[in-house]
Amino acid sequence: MTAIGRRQFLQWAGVAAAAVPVARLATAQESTELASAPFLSPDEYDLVRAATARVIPSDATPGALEAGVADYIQRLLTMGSSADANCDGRRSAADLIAETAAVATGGSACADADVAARGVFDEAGVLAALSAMFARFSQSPRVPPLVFAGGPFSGREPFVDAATMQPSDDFPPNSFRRFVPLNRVQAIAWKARLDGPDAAPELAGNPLVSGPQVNLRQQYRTGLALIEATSRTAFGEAFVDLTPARQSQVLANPSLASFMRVLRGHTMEGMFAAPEYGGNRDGIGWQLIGYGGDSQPLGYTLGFDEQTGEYVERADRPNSRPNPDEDCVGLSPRVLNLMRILVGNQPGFREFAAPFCFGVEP
Amino acid sequence: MTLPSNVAGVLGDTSLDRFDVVIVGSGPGGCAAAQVLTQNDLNVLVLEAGNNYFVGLDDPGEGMPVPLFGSDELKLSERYFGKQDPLLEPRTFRAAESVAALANPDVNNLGRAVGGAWLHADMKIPRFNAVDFRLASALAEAGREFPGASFADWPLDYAELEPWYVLAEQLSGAAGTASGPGSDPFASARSEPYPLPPHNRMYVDLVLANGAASLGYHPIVYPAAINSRPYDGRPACVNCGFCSGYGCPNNSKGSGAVTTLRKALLSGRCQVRYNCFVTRLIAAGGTVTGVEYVDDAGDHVTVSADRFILAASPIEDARLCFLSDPGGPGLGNGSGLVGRNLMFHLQTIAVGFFRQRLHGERGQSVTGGYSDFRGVAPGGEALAADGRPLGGIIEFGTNSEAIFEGKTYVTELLSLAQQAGVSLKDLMLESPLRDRLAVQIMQAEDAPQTSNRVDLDPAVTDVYGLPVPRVTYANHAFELEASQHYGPLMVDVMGAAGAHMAFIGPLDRLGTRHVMGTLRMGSEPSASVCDPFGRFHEIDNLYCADGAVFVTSSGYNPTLTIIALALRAANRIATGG
Repeated sequence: MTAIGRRQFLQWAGVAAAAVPVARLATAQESTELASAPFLSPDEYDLVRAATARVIPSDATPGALEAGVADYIQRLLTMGSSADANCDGRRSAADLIAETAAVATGGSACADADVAARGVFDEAGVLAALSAMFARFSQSPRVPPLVFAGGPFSGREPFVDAATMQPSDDFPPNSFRRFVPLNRVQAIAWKARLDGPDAAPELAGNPLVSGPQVNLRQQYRTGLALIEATSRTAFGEAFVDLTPARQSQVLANPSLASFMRVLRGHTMEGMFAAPEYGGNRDGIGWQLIGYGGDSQPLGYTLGFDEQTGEYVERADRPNSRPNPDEDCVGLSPRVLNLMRILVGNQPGFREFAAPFCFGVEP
Repeated sequence: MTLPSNVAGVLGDTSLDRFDVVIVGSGPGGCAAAQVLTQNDLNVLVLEAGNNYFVGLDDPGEGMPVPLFGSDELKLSERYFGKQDPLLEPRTFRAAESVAALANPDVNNLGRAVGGAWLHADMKIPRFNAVDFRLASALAEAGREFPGASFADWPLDYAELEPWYVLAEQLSGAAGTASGPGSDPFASARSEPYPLPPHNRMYVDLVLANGAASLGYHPIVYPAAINSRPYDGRPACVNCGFCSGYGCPNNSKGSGAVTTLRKALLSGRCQVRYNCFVTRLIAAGGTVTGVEYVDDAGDHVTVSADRFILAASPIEDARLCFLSDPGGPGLGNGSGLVGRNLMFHLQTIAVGFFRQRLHGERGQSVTGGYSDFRGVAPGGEALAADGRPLGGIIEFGTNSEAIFEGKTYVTELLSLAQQAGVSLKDLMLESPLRDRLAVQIMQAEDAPQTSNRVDLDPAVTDVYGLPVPRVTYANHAFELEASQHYGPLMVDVMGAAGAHMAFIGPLDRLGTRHVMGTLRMGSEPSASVCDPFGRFHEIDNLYCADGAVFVTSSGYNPTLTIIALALRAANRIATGG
């Protein structure tokens, strides 16, 4: 046994997969719809698409459009946006927990109706498994907001075959898509991130609650409106109708600097976070940069061969040496020069005359 | 006894209602103490501020718990999964008493989940040197003086702790090399080999080790509490690459949660209540009678016990002493030393850009390093004869995180790049700050200073409405001189390893996850807070079982020493000490 066993994994985390064919799970994964009415209007959504396409453009290789970065942002901003999801007559952090609430028993009538109407997680087997699993460690069975994807495995990589120490064709179910419930205080923090300090009076004693990563919904509403207004003032046209060059000019406007920091950061999240969060569609961001993404349960060391006394590695992506097809060409001159500018005045800076690649065949 | 628990927020036997010992915090010290106490038939309650992310941790059936951790950068590195969220629990920082402390998003933020900080660590567990336990004497004998520093000898020596080191390595599943190639020539004598053989080394380790060896240094296999073979019912590590900063998806990391705490839970003598934040100890006349916490419903609950153990990290332990004595000097603070002698490790970071891709998303974050800059003689029994500064062990690493890389370009580099005609996409594709970047991190010894301290902030409060810890901290010339001495030598190693260029990164005084001091142990009640076994001098049923009792900080990762001391302290409690 060199990895977590499939049987014990199913016993705990994969009850759903035992009951539901894997193909149906895959369908459910692709159809994880938004949990409530989308936060961004259709116009705002198009604007986010156009703006993030300027951050990571599509050219010879895919960019933010193909990765679905706008979908990532839509999902981030939409979670927990029901006004009173737990039907207690007030808007509070508890709504964030209850927002997609209440499968099986324990949920309020209004939250049950919400779930049914949205058609989210409509696989009976998945719901039953979620109930069983989360009942073990949370207050009530509930489908949580989309803050923390589940674990341990996404099903993108297989188990190792213990006998051959090679990848098997046995893939675990995707447990990333079963999001983890928030505890009471985590819900308060995320309420503040989404809706600002006023929505989280419990944090009134913390100056950090007025920082840049808080009140995201308002920042988007205001920031997107400002992009549109800047576009119309400068060019007399809607932002989405401008040429890419003019769009970049608009986004460089100093009045947009603080919002663009947020938007660019979210573009990185939407490009390179696990696809279960709504972006990085089909792992397109990871493929773009040659990045392995999540590799469990296979990983990069497949076992230890007692006969040879050596670890067994993947031929395509080894752990202790470069990829077989990699060279020693290095950074392009202009990126190298940029790094020189960036760090050239740092303490101890040295440039070396004869860089080389240990372990790479010339 | 009924296991597993079916009560929300509780692990273990829910029928337990009388506890011999309450432990505050489920990090490496608290977990280790819980196992020793339950083995000795004591009933233990562990209170953990964070959530539980090991489904089935208390299930006596076949198979290990299933972690809800994953190789998921967004969740673990951007969204504080199982970690201290600065919106909920900020800390304030100031570099001197004379200036105002400001809220800071990361003053040594640690874990908030069952397993504590020993979840997200990459589990590096070297031992301290023998000379560390008599460092004040050794410095005095060498005529080396450091005004303002409060060096002292520990109230125990290496030989006394050695059997507990052995047990800590066995319980944690330590993999390493005790002798021959790859062993640390500066490590002190061991009575037992590592229980597991060394790990598969990652590429960046081999690249930097080649450079270090070519300059005459002694690269080592870095000891780690991660299974290199199946061990103790847990599988071997597959080198998934998301290690430092990440909970383990397959339980091959020897976190206290899945090693000692799980055994305590399965004994039927231990209960863990999670999502329970301890707000104060209730004390009267030199005795603690109870502890109060806020649970996940927001309710305040009080629980009593015969004895209490603080294991919530040095900053939170000291804070609790102050919160428990409003208007007074702080619990057990007749010496005036509660919260003082706070130590981190001053991390000197050499950064190199390489031609080849280093693939940091494979491997255990750190699998090698060297100890030549620790400043001790081979064998670690004495200071280096040449009088070189006391630095620390060096870790070889790189960057595995793509979102972090992209955000760094966005915040640090965008306008420079635009001027140079380099796009964000170009940077992500060529990846100078991730795939072609290597680092050496020196975990250098911090001098203890009584002026470096934790107290309560007068203005800022946390989500529980409590005053947050205020950290007052400035580096001593002791560690700054070591950094200046060794930094250029680390840059030389980058060149010898093949780098294009290299430099010393900005000193990060607070981002280290290593924290020690605040409840210093010693024999003299006037010069220490805890006795040589971690019991408060002034409170006979209150103990500390984490890094707060450390007298000095050494130049090695602290966790193995935390576990060894916790095992020893719990054994003392269990045997009537």
